Formats: sequence, C-alpha cells, structure tokens
Amino acid sequence: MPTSDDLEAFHARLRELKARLGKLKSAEVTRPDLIQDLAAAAKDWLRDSQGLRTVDTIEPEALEQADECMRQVLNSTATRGRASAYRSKLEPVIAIFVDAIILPLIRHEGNPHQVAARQLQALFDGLCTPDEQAYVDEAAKCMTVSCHRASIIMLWAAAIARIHATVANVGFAAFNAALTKTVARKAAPYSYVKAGPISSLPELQRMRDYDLIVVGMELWSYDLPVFGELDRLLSTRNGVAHPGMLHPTALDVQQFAAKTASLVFSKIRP
Amino acid sequence: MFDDGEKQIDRILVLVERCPEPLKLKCFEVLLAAYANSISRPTREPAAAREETGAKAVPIPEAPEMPSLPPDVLARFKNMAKRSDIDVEDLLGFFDITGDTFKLHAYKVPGAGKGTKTRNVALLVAAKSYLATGTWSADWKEVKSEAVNQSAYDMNNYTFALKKSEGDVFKTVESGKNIELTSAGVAAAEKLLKSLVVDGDDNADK
Repeated sequence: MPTSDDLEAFHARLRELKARLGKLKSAEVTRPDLIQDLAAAAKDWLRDSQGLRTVDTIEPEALEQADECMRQVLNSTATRGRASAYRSKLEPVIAIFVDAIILPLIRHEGNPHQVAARQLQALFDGLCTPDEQAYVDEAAKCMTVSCHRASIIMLWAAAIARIHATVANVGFAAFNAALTKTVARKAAPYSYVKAGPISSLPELQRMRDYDLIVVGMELWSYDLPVFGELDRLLSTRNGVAHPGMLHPTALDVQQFAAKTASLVFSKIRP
Repeated sequence: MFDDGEKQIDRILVLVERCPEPLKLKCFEVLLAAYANSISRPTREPAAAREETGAKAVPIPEAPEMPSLPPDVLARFKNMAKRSDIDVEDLLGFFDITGDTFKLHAYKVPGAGKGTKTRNVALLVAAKSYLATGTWSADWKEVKSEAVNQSAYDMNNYTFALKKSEGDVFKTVESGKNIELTSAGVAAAEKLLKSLVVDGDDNADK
C-alpha cells in the first residue's frame, strides 16, 4: 500500500504532467516521452489504488472517480489524443486528490493502532532474521486491529524462534552439556527442568519453553534476574493464550515487545 | 490485632499441606504475608455498623486513583512529572489511557505559524512515544497526522518546517523516518508538555 508520502509525490507528478500538457495547449500529444509518462502514471495509480481500498478513512467513491479518470488517460495513450483532452481527464483527479485521498490516508496512518504497530516494529529494527521478522510483522498486524492477546503470542513465537535458531547454531551437543549442568543443580528453578538430552530439531521444538529459558542461563550466560523477567514474559504469554480475564492493552503489548527485544533479541545472538 | 491468629494459621497450614512438597515453604510465606497484610491495613468501618452505633464516620483518605498502566510506563510518567515539577495526576490527565490505545487528549498546539506548530507537534509526539516506549523519537506519520488535526499541515513545506530544527531539537530529519530528539529537544518537549499541562496553551513557548 502506498504511504501518504508516496501519494504526495504522485500528486506532484500529476501536476507536473498537467503543466507539460499545458504548454502544448490543444495540440495533439506526439512526444513519446510524455505519452510514456502519462501511461506510467496511470498504471501506477491503478495499481496503488487497489491497496488504498482497505483504508477505511478514504471514501470508495473518491477512489472510483480517480480510477475512472486515470483509466481514460491510459486508454488515450493508445490512441491519438490532444493535450487539452488529457488535461481535462487529469484535472478532476488533481482537484480531489489532496482532500479526498491524501488527507484521509494521513489520518489513517496517524490512527493510534497504526502508530502502536509501527512502534512495535521499530523496537526490533535490525535485530531479527527474516524468519523472526515474520512473527514480529504478524504481531504488528494484530496490533492494528486491537488483537493484543494474539500480538503477545506472536511476539513470544518470535522469541522462541530466536532461541531455537540459536540452539541449532551452537549444536545439540553444546545444548545437552548445558542441560546436564542445569539439571545437576538442585535448587529452583533448575530443579523444575524436565527435559532430557535432544538430538534433533523436532525434539527441540517439543521442549517446554520454560526448560529452554532455564537452560539459557547456562548456555547464554544471562543471570537469574534476566531469567526472572523471561519467566514473567512466558507467564504473560501463557496467560493470554488461554481463556481468562486478562485483557492486555496496546501499552501492555508494547512493554512486552520492548522486554522481548532487549532480553531475547539483544542478549541471545544467533 | 491477632485475635483469630491461631485459627488463621491453622487454616494456612491446611492449605499448605495440599501443595506439592517443593512449593510448600513458598506457599506458607505467601499466605502468611497475605494474612499479615490483611490485619495491618486499615479497614473502613461498615456503614451499617456506624448507623447502628451512631458513630460519626471518620473519613479515611483515599489513595490516589492510578490508572492501570504497565509499571515501566507509570515510572516514566512519575519521573517526567518529577523532573517537570508537575503533579503526576495532571500529566496523566493530558493523555487518554482509558481505551486500548494511548493517545493525547484534545489540545491546541501553540505556535505562531504552521512551521512552529509542526515542530511543536513533533516534540509532543516524541514525548508521548517516550512515555509509551522509552524512546524519545516521533513517528513521522503520526506527526503528520497530528499536524493535520491541528490545522498545521502544509504539504509543500512540511519536511522543510521540520528540517529547520535539525541539529537543534531534532537529531536528523529524513522523509518517512522517525524523528529522534536531541537532549535540547528532550528539554524543549518536556517544557512544552508542562506548559500545556499546567496552563493550557496560553504560556507555551511560541
């Protein structure tokens, strides 16, 4: 979907085309570069306008009107057209473009849900692999529609994707050695670890998240307070993943995301 | 104070017995602490009992109502209020935190022209972002939207208006990118927010 910045640039492009056509007055447009530019602008608009149909602040009638005018511009580029005829097709679009399309899109972009979603994504900038980023993007999408519980689940999935990938990188032998050291300790939380040695990814995937973050203290050298924070994040994740009275707000999700980014993605490097 | 202490301890021990062995000690600590809290906290005299005895109600001061905010967010509110020497309640009142989103309440941004207003909007949006996420940066699109709402948006000069404060209150201004504040920007944002919280827009820095 185009941004309001893209549409402002497109609006300037339409005005520039209109100015070039103005110089020709009512003569036939024969210059190939101008015809190509008109056709390209029309095609770009017809593609972009499809993405704008999901924006609830833009009236569909405005998009239909702009689509119709630009379709006529595109059709005219295949025939011999006069500059004045092109101008008369561009003028209605230019006239409504700012008030009916750009400003509503700006309002949509400034919607608090959209803002919170972008802030969530910004927290993970440069920290994620493409696989992990997919979960973060899905969490952000959930934020845009106030699905905050789903968002927390997706963020934790991103965190576990990081932990799994990192275990796979260090190798199962190193992981099993850390696990053995962990279970040898008798005090809590080490004594709660139930996992046994593993030798394959499916076994790792079946392992409890709790066991992973306990073993993580040995494997990635984070301390007990960091484990405690991770345990609270896991508890929050479990709280929202099951029916209950917990109703996290956007701020709750943002705090969950900030802690996940700093405790998992900054501390556990693949 | 411990009139029914023995009875309560017995009840606690019965509950502890039901716990798995490794959790028994923790469970006992938690339940004992809960009991101790329940008898140490002042309780309100029931209205019905007061009516019967004819005793005059002694008002118990209410703890200030704090909205349900994540602890980190509330800490940032308190710190900012302390730095700005304003009441945290007043600062909280400037934001709408009742719904599932976090936004600025209705306000009128100060400034002589659209350019100054746009700069001030960016400062306020960055302050809001700091309170929510701990980062002093303004979302480009949110600033634009707020500028539209404040009738301060000038499509042809929007970026230029922000660029004018680059190196002063903003670190860098690049179209489409978040606007990060300098330390001078942080101070300016807190001053602006304080002026709006305390005096409305009347005494704000124009």
